[in-house]
Amino acid sequence: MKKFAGKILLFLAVCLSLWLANSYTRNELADRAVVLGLAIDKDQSGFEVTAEVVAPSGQDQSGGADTKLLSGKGKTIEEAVGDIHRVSGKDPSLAQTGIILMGEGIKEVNVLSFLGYFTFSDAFKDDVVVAFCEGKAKDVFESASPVEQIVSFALQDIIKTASDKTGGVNNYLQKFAENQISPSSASYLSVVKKKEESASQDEKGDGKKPSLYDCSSVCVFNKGQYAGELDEMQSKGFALLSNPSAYASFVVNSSSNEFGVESEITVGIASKKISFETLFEDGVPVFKVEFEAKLKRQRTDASGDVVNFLPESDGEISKDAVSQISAETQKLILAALNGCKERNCDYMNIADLFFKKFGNSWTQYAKNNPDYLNKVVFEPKIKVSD
Amino acid sequence: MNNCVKQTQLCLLIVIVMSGGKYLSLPGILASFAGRDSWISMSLLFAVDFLCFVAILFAMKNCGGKSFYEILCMTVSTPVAKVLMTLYALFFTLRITGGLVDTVDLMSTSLSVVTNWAAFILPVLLVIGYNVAKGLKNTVRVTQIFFVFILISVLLIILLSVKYTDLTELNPFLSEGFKPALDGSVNMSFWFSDCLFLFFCFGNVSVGKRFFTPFIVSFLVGAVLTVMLEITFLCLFGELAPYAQNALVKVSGFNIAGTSYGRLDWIFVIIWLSSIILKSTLYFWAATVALDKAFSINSNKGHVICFAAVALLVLVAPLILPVQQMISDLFILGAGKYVTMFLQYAVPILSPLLVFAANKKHGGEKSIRRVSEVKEQ
Repeated sequence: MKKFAGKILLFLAVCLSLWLANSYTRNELADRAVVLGLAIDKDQSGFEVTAEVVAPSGQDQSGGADTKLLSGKGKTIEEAVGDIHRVSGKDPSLAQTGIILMGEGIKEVNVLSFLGYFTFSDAFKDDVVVAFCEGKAKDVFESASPVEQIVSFALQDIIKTASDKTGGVNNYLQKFAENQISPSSASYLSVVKKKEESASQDEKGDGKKPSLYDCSSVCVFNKGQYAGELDEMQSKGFALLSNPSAYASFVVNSSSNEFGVESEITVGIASKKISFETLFEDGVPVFKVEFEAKLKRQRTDASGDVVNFLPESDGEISKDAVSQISAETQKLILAALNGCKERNCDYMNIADLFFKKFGNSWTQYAKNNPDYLNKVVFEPKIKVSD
Repeated sequence: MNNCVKQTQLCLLIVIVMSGGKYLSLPGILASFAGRDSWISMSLLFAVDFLCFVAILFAMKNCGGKSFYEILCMTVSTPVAKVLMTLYALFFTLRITGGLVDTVDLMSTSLSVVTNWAAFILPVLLVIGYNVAKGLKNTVRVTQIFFVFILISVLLIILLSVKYTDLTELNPFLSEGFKPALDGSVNMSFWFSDCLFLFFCFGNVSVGKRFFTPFIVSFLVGAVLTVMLEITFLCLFGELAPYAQNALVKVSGFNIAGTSYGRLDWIFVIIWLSSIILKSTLYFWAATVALDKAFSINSNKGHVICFAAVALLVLVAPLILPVQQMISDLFILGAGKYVTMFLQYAVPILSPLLVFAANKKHGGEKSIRRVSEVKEQ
């Protein structure tokens, strides 16, 4: 028996290996459609989910990414994603998704009714960019970007990366969902608007004409329901306050430019510091905003946004220009704050900040004063310098 | 089995064991009890664990080369000692099973490695079995190799998410009073007291010049790392914390690298998972030794049978019972937690007294062995 022990052991090891190999669900890369971005549209018949996918074929040796659009329909998001699998034969893999774009049809639906599919999944990233768009989200995905081959990446670049420098806003899945169930019960998304199609030809020959996107607008949601789009001043003011790294530029009159003539110049915010303070004064909630910014004249190849700890330099912006910018900033910030009252939508998360400081005292106050937004007094304090 | 280990090896093991397995479903469940104050619940549990840990160290230092089982036999009687050993074996087995069921869940949902329980656990049991057969020394040596990688992956998991971390999510502090935090501590105590395995190291630890300081430092490092992970989780998820089923993957998914590098976090998740295997190996070893003592087994054949019994329980239980639900019903929400609290807290706190009584009964002997006195078993 001992003579055969080694052979028996080897036989058992082979059997175990074979059994183990067959005990795993086949999940070959070639059988999967790696989803880079999701477009969600809603109509009367249900949801339509369009996924921009990379489907590895295993045969293409040339490298580079080639994406396809796959659409599925269903009464729920889960059903629509399953439909993609059914019609394409590829198992959609959502772990690599970088953006969720929601179309106008979502206005009729409470987003909390389907966001759980994504937020409560362990495989789905929680920092996925979420945005809203005019018209159908599918149409945006069907267009092409002039600078980036993959639409999902192009949109993420515009919304997430570039917004920090161009004064836009961006929100991500976890924060968008969490804010809806926080004491403020409100959140925001950037709005993707397709600008006029660029004049460039359809170079790729795939039927898509390159399009340009404007993501500077902001729409807000109250308790999961679409609550409207902020106007230009409110959007700009909101971007100034909500995103610590989003910068803005101002056009001001200058009595004398480099050539000594009167003109308009553009000044950018080089660094900024924002702080909020919540307090009660004689039983009235007061929301103080302290906004400090350093300004820099915009020049070529420089968007004006830099990190803090700038070296001191001689003033290149006149005092008059600084006071113009200070007044403009005050207007923008007040527009953003008062927008909460106009829409009865606490997208500035005022209730959240009060709750974090006062705890149950605030909860009690909000319960007794459901119209707390009308009672809050805003006190912005602006300080800009060059 | 070679169970002789060095103090430094044990210290590294303590750091790994304390954080291993505490970043799966535990943070979400803790948040469902204590909300934003769940980090206080965790800190409270670690504070109590620390007292028990120090008590165990006192007992270990003064055990005079006797095993914990021998001390119990000398003090509380042999039948009671055997019952306690059996209970400890069951406790460790349940901890292993619960942790590994959570792990297979993580692998299926996050890494898309979809398999059945048996196909997952059999290779794991083979690896663990080999290590248990070799003894504790093998496990601590593996820990020494993996330690740096696990520590770096834990730190990177925290750092990857720091951009999105909002410390104000911890406010308001104790808004509902201290009761929810205390409830969280009481209900989740089953998943703590990671250093109970030290009971089975009595007489087998060789130490350097200092005894308490390295152990205490390693405990504090493990505790601080775990609490930092918990705070990171809470600061990221805020109100959504109670709904997260697997904190490790949720936190690591906040990737500052953006779209270009894909799921870089999976590398750190996989490395961190090895700490669960190490912890399971350690608990398997402790359960096997406990069963050896309970049934007075001294032969190698007997060790194998004890290990096989524990392994069979771990293999079969999830196939026929809803283990996670049972743990939740019995040991989190149910009265079973008071039984485990006795094992986790009462016995460790009393252990210095038991050692004192045993030494008095049989004469005080020299304290722990120095490096030069360790003999191979």
